[in-house]
Amino acid sequence: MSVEQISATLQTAMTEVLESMCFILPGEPVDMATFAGEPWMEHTLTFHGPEEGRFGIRAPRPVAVRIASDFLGEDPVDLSEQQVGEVMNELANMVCGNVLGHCYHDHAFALTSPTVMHPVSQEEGAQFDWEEGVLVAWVKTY
Amino acid sequence: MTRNVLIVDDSPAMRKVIRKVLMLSNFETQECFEANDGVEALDILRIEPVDVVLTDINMPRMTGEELLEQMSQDDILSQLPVMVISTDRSEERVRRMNALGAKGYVTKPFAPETLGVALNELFVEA
Repeated sequence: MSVEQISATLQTAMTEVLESMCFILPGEPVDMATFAGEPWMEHTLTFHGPEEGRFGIRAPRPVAVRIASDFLGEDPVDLSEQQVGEVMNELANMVCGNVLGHCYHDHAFALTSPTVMHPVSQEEGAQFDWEEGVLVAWVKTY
Repeated sequence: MTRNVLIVDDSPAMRKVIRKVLMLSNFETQECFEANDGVEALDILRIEPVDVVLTDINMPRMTGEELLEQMSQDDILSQLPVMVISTDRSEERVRRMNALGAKGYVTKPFAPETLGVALNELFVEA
């Protein structure tokens, strides 16, 4: 399967994960100027199976905090940096697993533990927009 | 009837979410133990009165698949119901985990109510 075909499922996967686990629904794109000057967080993992590759998600830090807050059901001010990172890791794991599940129904994959990508990449992929934020996901095959 | 649950997942965030979902579900949980991987899970299973194991698959040191293999070789642990909670929804993986003795399989992401329903079904079947 081509990377373009795999990438086509990124939007669906992000929607399923954010709706189910964070109750975030797609909406109008937020004005990106809102996040000007904000650092971005990116978490990546590699997958191994019938297809080998790397997958990543990234979001402006305030958006990652909001996602973590919704995921854990905690007030954003109570969240540690570590907790936000753990949620981004799990989000990467779930979105990637979801993408591979859509593309390869009958083949199991092994996913490595997600890690922080620094500096943040400029990899292009799909973008999930809602009124309060944006999440970008990308995939590359070897 | 209340049950003791062991959650096995290398993601602290996911363990916390599963714990919260269980508390809010109609599955009556008495005590909730947590393990970061299969090795920790086996340590807990040998000393704590666990009624059901909820395990991820991809974990460091010992995967969920290896955990099921180890449990299946133990007279007592092989009797414990295990439910897999994983991002891997492939038919190949589900078949493999079922063959190793898993009694249920929930894919991430999941709607909160899904887990409680699946757990209650597991004990009705038992």
